[in-house]
Amino acid sequence: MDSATGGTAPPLLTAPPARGGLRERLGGPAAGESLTGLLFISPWILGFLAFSAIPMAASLVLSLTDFDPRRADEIRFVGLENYARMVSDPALIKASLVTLRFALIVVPVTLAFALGIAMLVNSTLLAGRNIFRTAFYMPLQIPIVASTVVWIGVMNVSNGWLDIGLQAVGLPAIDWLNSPFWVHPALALMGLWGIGNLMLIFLAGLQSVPTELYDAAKVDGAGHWSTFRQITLPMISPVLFYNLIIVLIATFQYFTQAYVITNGRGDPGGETLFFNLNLFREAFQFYNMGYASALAWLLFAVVLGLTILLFRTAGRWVYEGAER
Amino acid sequence: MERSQPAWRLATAIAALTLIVAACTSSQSSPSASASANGSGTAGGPAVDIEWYVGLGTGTNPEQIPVEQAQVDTFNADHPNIHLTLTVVDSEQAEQDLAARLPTNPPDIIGPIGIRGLQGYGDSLLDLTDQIASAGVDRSTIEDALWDVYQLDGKQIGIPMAVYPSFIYYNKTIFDEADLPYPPHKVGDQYDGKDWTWQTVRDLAMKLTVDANGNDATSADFDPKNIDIWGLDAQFTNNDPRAWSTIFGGSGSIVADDGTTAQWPDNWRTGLQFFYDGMWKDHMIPTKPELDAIEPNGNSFQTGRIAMDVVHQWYTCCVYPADGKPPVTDWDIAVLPTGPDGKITSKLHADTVGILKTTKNPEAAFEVLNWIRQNPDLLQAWGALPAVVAQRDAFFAGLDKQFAPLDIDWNVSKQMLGYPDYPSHEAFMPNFQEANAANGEFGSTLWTTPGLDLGAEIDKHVKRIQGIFDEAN
Amino acid sequence: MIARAQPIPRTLSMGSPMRGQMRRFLAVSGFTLFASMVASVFLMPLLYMTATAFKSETQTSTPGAPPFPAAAQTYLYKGEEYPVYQVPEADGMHAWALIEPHRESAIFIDPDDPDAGPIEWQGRWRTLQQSWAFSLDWSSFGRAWEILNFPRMFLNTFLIAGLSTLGAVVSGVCVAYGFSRFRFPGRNGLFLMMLATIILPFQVTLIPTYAVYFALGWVGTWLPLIIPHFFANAYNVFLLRQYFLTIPRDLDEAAMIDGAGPLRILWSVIVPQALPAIVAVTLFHFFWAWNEYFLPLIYLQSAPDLQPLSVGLGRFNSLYSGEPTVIQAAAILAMLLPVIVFFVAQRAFMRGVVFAGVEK
Repeated sequence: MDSATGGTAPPLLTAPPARGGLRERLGGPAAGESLTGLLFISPWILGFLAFSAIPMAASLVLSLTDFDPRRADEIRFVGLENYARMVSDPALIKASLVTLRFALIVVPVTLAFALGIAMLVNSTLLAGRNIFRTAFYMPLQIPIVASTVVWIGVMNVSNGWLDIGLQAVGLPAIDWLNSPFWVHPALALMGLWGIGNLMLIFLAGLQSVPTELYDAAKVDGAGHWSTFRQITLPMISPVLFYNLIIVLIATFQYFTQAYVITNGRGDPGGETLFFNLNLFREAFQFYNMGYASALAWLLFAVVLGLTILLFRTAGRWVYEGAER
Repeated sequence: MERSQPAWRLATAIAALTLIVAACTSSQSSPSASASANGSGTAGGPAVDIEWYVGLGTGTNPEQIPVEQAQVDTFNADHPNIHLTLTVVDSEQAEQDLAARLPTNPPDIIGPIGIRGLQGYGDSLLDLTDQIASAGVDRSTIEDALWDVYQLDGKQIGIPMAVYPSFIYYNKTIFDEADLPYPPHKVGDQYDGKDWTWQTVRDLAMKLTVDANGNDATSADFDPKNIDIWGLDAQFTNNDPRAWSTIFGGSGSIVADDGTTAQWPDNWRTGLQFFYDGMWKDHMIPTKPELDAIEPNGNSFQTGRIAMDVVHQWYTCCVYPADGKPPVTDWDIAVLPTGPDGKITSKLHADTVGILKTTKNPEAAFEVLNWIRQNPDLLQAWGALPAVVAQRDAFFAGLDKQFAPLDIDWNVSKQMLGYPDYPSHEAFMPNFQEANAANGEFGSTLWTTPGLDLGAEIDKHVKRIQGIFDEAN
Repeated sequence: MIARAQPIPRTLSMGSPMRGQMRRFLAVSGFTLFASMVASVFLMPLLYMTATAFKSETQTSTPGAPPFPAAAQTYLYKGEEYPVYQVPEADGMHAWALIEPHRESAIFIDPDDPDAGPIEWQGRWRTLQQSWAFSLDWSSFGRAWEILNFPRMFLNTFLIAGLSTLGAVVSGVCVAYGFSRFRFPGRNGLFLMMLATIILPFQVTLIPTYAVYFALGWVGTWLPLIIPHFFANAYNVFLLRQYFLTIPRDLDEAAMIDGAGPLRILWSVIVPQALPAIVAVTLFHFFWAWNEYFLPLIYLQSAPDLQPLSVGLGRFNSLYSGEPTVIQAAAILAMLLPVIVFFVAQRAFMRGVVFAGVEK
């Protein structure tokens, strides 16, 4: 019986194991490896060239113009004017701050909640796990048209169930969606409702933790917390990393719920004027498509930078058994 | 930045080219996209494709779509030379959707589209002057003022199709319960011995507003947290402070006569104060959270919990839910009162259909447009009072049939048509879309925040609007 | 063989089996109770949604109506229905029908004795208790079914979601395998470029993307909603890659020594090992495609017969007529299949996938 990570001793209660498989130890890559690899990723390359490359390049070019979709024939090249304009755009500054503030709360809270629920529904102590998993996943399956109406109803200050519940335990009712202070927590709550996919991915990750690691931890007398810290967390770090990147991207692009809840106005007090909502307004309400494209590439640069940064740090905390 | 580098020029050219190439290749393949023909067009010569795009205004309700489709089918059966297709898009997505389509695959006809919508698409519409003349449209059948609404830089971009004066829809059941007389149906009539002014309306609305214990809003015991019935609302104005100011304060403009200075006229200040106090002090008008609690879509009159609601003629499209038992069964309409400027003002909406400049078949498109604007079934489905004066009686007769056994006093509507807001509450502003968005933000604040010093807020807002106006110059 | 099941607590073998079972039972019930509490708070909005779907249009707008679906008790008097209230009188409580309300008085009729005629009552009827009885109103479901041409739209949705999922999963597995198991020049750069496609907000690529599909003649067909997914997308590839990376290479190498080619290794080593991740990708791509709204709206607006449910649901969202009960009923109908699919499919996470080639 071999150990989980193919090396010598199982990486019990230690940092993720060093990289390197058999092949690396033997020498460089085989001649055909590059070709095989490229062959396997060729569907994506083809798809990228066919469907993504042109639109992406076009939007980059459009960001240097004053493109208005209603007057496509009057398009005019304006150089870096759109980028220069950003410096003195109060709406952009507001939108960036709102988005950053929101991301700082939402990213950690969402990840922690999703992981917590995944561990809950993965536990052997839970009877009826099928039902619980389905239950926690279900909100994600509600069409957006309906879920918005549901949340507007549930969060209403005078007859929403959430506020009725708060009052039942002696707390004051909150006007969630109309208060500049509460609207972020409200949107965060709505976000927690849609953790289904994150939960599912964590669940898949938890499934991949070899049971014998837990057995061994038990023998070593490790408590719940240290087992979690030293086995579960490192072993699911690849999917945690994935979820982190995805949630980060999604939060910086946060749009749909803010749009439907406030009809795209950024109410109350501009607190829901997220970066992408501001971008949407520039693009489709003010028809400044050129400027909107420039905004998009600004966001792109920031998020891509963050992503690269995270990938750089990944080597230190993400366990990648087979990476080389 | 006029002098651009060659490389940049090249890049711009590539982008433009992408769009143009796409547009050209597609024009060859576009008929296949709408190949689900309804049988017509196969006879005779090749039928010309015309696409009619609905979604920028009314026309997207589940019960309106079948009427529109049926009329389109009839049209196709009668016109073998034209193949008309109907595209209906969820109104919340329509602007974005249309923007995506305009550069490459624009529809031919858009509408119904209101005055505000024209500010967005006016430039893209075809000048119809010549076609109106050659098709022999009799201009005298429609009031001159309405023609002017669709004049843009000397171009006639639409034939007036529908007008919608506003008036008060009132729920008789609520008046009966409170033992109060109904509001006047005739301009000049008094109410209960008092002149019919917004002040009178306020006093009346507060008596009609009642909480769960049966106390009305004039009572010291009134509980504003448990309101059953509100006396007044102006539903579907959403967060538009120009609309509120016009309804309760009379005609006015956010732009001074010089065309560049931002302002908020005195009568608008009075009107907005009336509305603001009505929500937060008098509690006779529902606030945003209160509306969300009873009807998130804003159709408050239909809940049966609003006694008087200022709405346009088009609301006859949707007074009743399409199905089920209506909460409001007994209603009528009343005239608007005199405002603080000493005049009656009935905020006017108007609709038309327009032809996009990019159409490949302007002649056929005009034929369709001319047919849509006079189609009685379509107009009735939209609650659209015909712009053609001679067709109005038939329209009201149709409504009478629709609302029988109720006998609605349509004379109210006819009278109110004589008091339109001028300039329109949806009129032009410099830097329109951005000024409009700023107005919306201001409106939202008033709608959701109690305890504001309104005068100071207006001053702040005017300053902000001035900044937006200045950007346009 | 399968090392998945939680290890049996060591203490169990020491104590009596009865005590061990008892403790386990208590732990399970305590834990399950806790989970139920979390779940019920979590699902409260869903309950609200269901309750709304089963309410009548009248109930949603009546002040003081109960939160559960209910019908006001009414009494038919001279061809009209009137609501019944609990009226306190000197001789006790009466259930009378309100036929004419006023502010400080009301006229009732006694359903038990209608011949006695109208009863004049002094007092405020608004303070009286209305009689409500639990009642499910199915009419919203009927209306949703009728307006949406449900069977047709359901089939459309199913085909679009099913086909695009098939493409997304097959291509995703291949590309992720390429990225995680082979070294080739520019691998990291290409991977980053793939992530870049999801980092750029779609709003600014919308117009050029539409232009591309239009140039291809795909507007008005399902192709823009299906074909691109056959070329792998970043979300799926990234996840699968992350998961593949945790599978030890020893297994591949053992197979390789046995003479298996890359495809065979993918099929017989990687795929079985990564089943939970593949199932996860399948599920969330399917559900994403099931609910996707804006793209079908744009590409299928000229072809109502090809539209999926999501676009149909948007119709209830129209400008001037709110039908909250119908929206919720339609949404419940639309999510029935996805919920069942999930319930069945999530067993993949129970079966205990052997990780790490423990069995030889």
